[in-house]
Amino acid sequence: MDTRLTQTNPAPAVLPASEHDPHGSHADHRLFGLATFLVADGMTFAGFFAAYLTFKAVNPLPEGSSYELELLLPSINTVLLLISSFTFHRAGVACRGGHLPRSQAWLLVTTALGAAFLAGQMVEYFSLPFGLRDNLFASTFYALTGFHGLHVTLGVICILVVCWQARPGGRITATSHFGLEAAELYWHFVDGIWVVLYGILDQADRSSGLIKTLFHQSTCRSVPAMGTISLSVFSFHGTGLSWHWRGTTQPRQVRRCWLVRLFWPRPDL
Amino acid sequence: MTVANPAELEQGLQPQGWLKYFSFSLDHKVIGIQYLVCGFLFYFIGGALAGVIRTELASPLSDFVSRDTYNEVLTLHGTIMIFLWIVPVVNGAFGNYLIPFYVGARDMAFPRLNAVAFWLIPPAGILLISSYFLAGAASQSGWTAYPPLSLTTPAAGQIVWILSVLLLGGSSIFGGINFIATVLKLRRPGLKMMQLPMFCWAMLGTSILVVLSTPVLAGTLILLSFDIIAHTGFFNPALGGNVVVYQHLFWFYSHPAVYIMVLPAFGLVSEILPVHARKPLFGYTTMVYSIMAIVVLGLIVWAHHMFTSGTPPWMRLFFTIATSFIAVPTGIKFFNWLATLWGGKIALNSAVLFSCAFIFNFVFGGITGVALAQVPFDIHVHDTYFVVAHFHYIVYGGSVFVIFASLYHWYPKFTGRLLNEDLGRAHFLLTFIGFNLCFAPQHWLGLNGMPRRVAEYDPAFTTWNQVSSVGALLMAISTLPLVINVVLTALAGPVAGDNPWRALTPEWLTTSPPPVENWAGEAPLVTEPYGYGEHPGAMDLSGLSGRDLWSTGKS
Amino acid sequence: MAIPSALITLLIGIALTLAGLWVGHNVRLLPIDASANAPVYDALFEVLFTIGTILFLGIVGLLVYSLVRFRRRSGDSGDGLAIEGNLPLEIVWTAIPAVVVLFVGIYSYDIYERMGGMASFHDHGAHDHAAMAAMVQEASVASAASTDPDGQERIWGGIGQSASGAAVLPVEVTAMQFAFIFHYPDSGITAGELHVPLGQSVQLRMEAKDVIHAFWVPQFRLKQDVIPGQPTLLTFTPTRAGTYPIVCAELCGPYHGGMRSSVVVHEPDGFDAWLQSNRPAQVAQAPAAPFS
Ligand code: HEM
Ligand SMILES: [Cu+2]
Ligand SMILES: [Cu+2]
Repeated sequence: MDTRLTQTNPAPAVLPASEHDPHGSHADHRLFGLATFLVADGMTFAGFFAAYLTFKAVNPLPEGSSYELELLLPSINTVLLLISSFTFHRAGVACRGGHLPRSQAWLLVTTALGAAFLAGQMVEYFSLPFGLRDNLFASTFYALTGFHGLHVTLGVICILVVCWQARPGGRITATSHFGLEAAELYWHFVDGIWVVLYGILDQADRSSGLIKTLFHQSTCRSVPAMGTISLSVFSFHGTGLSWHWRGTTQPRQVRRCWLVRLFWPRPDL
Repeated sequence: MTVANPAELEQGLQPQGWLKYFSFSLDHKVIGIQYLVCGFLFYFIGGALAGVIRTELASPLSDFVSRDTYNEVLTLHGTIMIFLWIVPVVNGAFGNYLIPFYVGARDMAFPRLNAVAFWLIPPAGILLISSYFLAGAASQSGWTAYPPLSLTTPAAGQIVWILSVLLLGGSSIFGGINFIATVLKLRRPGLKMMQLPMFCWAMLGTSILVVLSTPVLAGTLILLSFDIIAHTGFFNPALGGNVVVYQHLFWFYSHPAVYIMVLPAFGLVSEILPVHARKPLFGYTTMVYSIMAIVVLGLIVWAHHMFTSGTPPWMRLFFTIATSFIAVPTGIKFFNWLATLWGGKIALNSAVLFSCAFIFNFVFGGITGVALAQVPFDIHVHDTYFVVAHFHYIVYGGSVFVIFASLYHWYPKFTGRLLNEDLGRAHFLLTFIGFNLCFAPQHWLGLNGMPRRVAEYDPAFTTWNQVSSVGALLMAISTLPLVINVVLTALAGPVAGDNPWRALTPEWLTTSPPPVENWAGEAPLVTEPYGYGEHPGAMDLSGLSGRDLWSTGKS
Repeated sequence: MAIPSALITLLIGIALTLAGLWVGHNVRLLPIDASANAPVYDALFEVLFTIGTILFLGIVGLLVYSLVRFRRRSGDSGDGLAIEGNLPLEIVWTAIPAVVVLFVGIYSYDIYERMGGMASFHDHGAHDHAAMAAMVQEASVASAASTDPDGQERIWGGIGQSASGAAVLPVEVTAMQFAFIFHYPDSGITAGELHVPLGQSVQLRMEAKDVIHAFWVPQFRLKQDVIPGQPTLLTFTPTRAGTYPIVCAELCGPYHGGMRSSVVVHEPDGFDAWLQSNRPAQVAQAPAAPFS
């Protein structure tokens, strides 16, 4: 019976550290864990989106109630967030290249963009003609954008912390920068969600004439377009991060897309 | 397989002895036991509540507790049994204890997150139960919390209910992330996915469901709490809201939730049967694929809970067919277990008895499930005692029976002592008889006109309700031999040795109980966890029936 | 003499099928049928019960047989056969349930069609929304202003043919915590019990005042949720005179269990008599005038 148990050869005298100490320095899977968590978080949004789309499709707007969204401000906000994804990407590249001060600068730019987004959101909230309880769509609008805004706020705080940690002598160095990469992944996620959110909030409810007609027919057209933009932003830093996913420090040997590597368990499968 | 003195390996960092079970321990085995014991405590509370329900229903009048209390008891019972007993025990307890062994790791991928996930549970449970005493009234709208009822019953209790379910959902998501990372990323070098014990696949599938569906429930409950606190109208028709959307979102979680409760049980049975039948698990590959098929199908069948909610005809049709098809992968698993037993040398001990009773019960519940999936059938019995019977056959007859089986199977690993077989069989017999006596008559009650969640009913149903209550009493009594057994054995049971069942899976290839980092030496590489059995050449085949049906999978 | 195992399997199969058919046909688990679609329902039930019995007996038989036949004898510490799988077998037990399930699905669809469940209650023709919109529209609540964009009132269909015409008796049902109220628009009667004539189609137009309720008559094999803001139609034809319970099947508060009423199915003359004796006051008073 015991013959079927292949005991490993005791030959290698020095085991890789990962073999021995689970709490210590085994390969770092935290980024993978974070990605899984973001999938879960994304499902929360997906639930909200589904609810919103259903409400829109089914429930009439009560008479005398208004639900008109702004167009300009959210569009500017979208651009700001997309740029911030790019600046965060630059920060990551700089950090991995060992240029911490430059990385910090890019992080600060990102923070500024995030803060500008939040400010814009606030302005929009106060200028909208409806409040949280005015009607079903108003409630859903605030719930959706509010939940997203919460994510942005958290992201901004994280970036500030990371920026602080990237000071000379701080936790983050060119070779050890989990915090930075986690924040980056999270930030891209929050951006991606916003793009979908922007596409889903019915374009017909936005007020300006030109783009209204452009988007009028259905949300179905804008979502793929926005999706493409966000995907290209995502893939920007893909190569940069790809070697990190499996916790190895060997740079770019395997030429597989990071998305694939992230969810593909192991090469020996 | 002997191991050097485990004491040498223990680290001085964490509390030792029994105290460690009350600590923020990072050891997956300690956390597993914490989940298990905590789950059992809640099981006893939930069971007592069930006792209240069955006592009330022993007579057709609402005469035992007040009507409000009855609805509180009903809600607490459902919520506790699902979120504080079955989910934490089949996932948290056995998942945490076994998965690191099975992948050949010394702990979970994120030990700290693991401890956090566990320590969310006791506060959430206490919060939930205390709402009965502190908030004046616990939630009264059932575990489904359908609005508008949940918007009009006492708000404080409903909010506490939402809070604690959110905490428990969070715990379950953290657990799920940990299991996914552990199974996918922490496998010992050289161990391939298709060599993992089946429980790993079950936990992987379960965790995927947890990660994809639990957040939707969380979002929904947040919206519901807005409706209660901020008087928004998401789900309030009086304010222009839409209650059916709540039902869709709720069941998008809660149907997968039933698989979250039963897939790990499938995995556990797949571990137990081969060991005690001394045969390889039959059809490993199809078992894996059927788990994955269940995961995929499980996500697209939710609206079978809403056949009477005015859903459009095409939707009913789609969900009927999708739901019926879940029976196919599920059936494959059952046939494979039967084939595993066939031709084995089955030890008829408590673990096997409970596992086989699980097959019995689950097949029954599965058959009523497929019937329920048929819209015209469901329209008559939806929200009646027939459904109550169905899901207790599945959740109690399925998951809970497997929990008991697993307890008998792994108790020697947990403690180093073997549970008493006579008490175990007494426990089995009482549970099996009590269970069937309690729930089988409920099918008839539902078919003949008794709705669920009622405190009073048509006196024509008295007899069978009383039979059912007697069954419940037997079930309550059946916990006595279990508790006595567990306590006596812990104090003075026979020493089990490292591997009393002569099993091949890695958790048995170490001491009982195992040392802190699981193996004193290197982790064993087990590529054939089910490598039992004698090769047919070595045996006299003429004594076996049906042999012509079978070929050996391996030469 | 050894009997070939294929023969034994065949015999067992036949015996099981016969047993299943017998049980399905002779074990009565349902209450009496009192509406036109109840016999249709019962036919489906019989099929499901038969198939279920065959499967259950077969599987449990196999289980018990294995446990007895292959139990470990004392002193034997050997292993069983090292059989790890068998592809043809796996295919068989994937295909058979798939076929059974497909058959059951199609059959129950047919039954459902015959019960009138597939009738769409709001084919205004004008609806060519995207699929998404159509899907949710029907699943939805019409809220305070329960009208379509095209101005028609939205009605949700429960089971039952969307019968229309003079032969249909319309009844308005209001469900509230914790009672059903029945209003007959033709005769102006309002009652706490539902009275209907034998053999005539009845169309219930149901509305809920507060929370979700469900209208269930076990003897009619009919159930329909009544959701606030979502007026719902339910049609049935009673086929057996008598008094049957109406039960609320959706948890609706503390007195949910007490939310019961009755439906009385009258012979046609009996129904007219009931209508006469319950006409609202002003109508009923007219013949009383000669006395004063
Ligand atoms: C063969 C597979 C199964 C099928 C086809 C099936 C089908 C169904 C259907 C159609 C319903 C809705 C009945 C109604 O409310 O009218 C239902 C209810 C339910 N099922 Fe299953 N089921 C299956 C397996 C399971 C499993 C594996 C579990 C749990 C481990 C489960 C737990 C439940 C629960 C808890 C409910 C009632 C929920 C409630 O209303 O509170 N079922 N099942
Ligand atoms: Cu379900
Ligand atoms: Cu009611």
